[in-house]
Amino acid sequence: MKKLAIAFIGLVMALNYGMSQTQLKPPQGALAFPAESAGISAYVKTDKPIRITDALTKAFYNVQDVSDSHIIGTVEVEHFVGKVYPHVYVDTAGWIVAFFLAAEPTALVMHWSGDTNNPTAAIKTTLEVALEKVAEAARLPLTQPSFYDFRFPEANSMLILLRILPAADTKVMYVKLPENHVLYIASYYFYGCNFCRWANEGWYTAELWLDGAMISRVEGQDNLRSVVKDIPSRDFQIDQLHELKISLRQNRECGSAGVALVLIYRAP
Amino acid sequence: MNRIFAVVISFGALNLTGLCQNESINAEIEGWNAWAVYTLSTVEILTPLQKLSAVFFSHYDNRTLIVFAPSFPTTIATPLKRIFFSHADAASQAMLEKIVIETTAQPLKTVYVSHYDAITYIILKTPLIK
Repeated sequence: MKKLAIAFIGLVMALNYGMSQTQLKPPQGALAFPAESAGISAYVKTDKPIRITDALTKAFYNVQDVSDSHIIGTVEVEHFVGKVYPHVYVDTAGWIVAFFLAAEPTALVMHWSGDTNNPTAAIKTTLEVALEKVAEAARLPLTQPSFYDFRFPEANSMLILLRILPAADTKVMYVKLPENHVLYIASYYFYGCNFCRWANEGWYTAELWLDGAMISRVEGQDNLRSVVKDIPSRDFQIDQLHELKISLRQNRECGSAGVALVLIYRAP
Repeated sequence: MNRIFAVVISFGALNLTGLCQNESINAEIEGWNAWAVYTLSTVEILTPLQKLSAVFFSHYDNRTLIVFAPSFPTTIATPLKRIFFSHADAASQAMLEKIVIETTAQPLKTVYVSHYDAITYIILKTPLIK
């Protein structure tokens, strides 16, 4: 029920004869953009109106709703760790909004750069890539997007921290948000891989530790495995120094591992 | 703990993709290859009205009559697809069945209620993305 848009009409009609009719209309209606389903978002507002064309539709992996004035669906974004499918909303007023659903892990915003053997320490978001794909299909120049998390209206910052291991190694990282911050969510995207494909020797084991406790472990042979999760709020809090440790063991140097930590918070 | 140092990052001096200029954080970080801060900006996205997919009646009795007029000009702009009744009594049940059949048969564009009072309210359900 909480996801229903509610319109309460309290008018009482006087019946003039056997039956009197009162027309009911939604006071304002519901906006086409599903704000209550959206989580972390990137958006632009173009100066020019956008036409909902077949060419624009083809930029979508899956179209969920389309009308003369708007279209909404998912867009496929691929990086070397995998594929993600953020939702994208476009309307004729010029809005282009790429977003993950409120229930999806926030760390899906991480767009991994490089390849499985040579990851690069560059940070970009999958939401920006989704916006680029749609803007290209609409033949619109894309301006620098803005970001917003519809789950946390008070949040004003998103911090992405990245650590990659291009070879077998163990690294320790630290992060602490000051006490005058408000943390809304901490989320991570962790992967490990090895693609030697030579005499079946491409095995690997990658682990991620938070404050001394292993929170993710992936292993395999000649493949890539990843974990994307939100961290329970009890395990990641402000004014506490958190230690993260990432390790990769592998046979031959054909693989890599990495972790992206995403924090949504309010800074003073 | 001694290995930790406070880093005040002035992103105005950095040229990393996606960083918001003049944005800064005051956090303790060490050991990371890269970091980026994005400003989250409150936005009110003014979009076209969404299709109205359902009408929910919390109460429905024998004094309530619902008339569908698909062709009436000053109506809800988008078609209704489903109607839910949480309560209906014996007197209204027959009418309810007819309404449901007509709802299925053709899209609704208008809902009229002949009478409703304080215990009757209507919830307009909009499509949810799963």
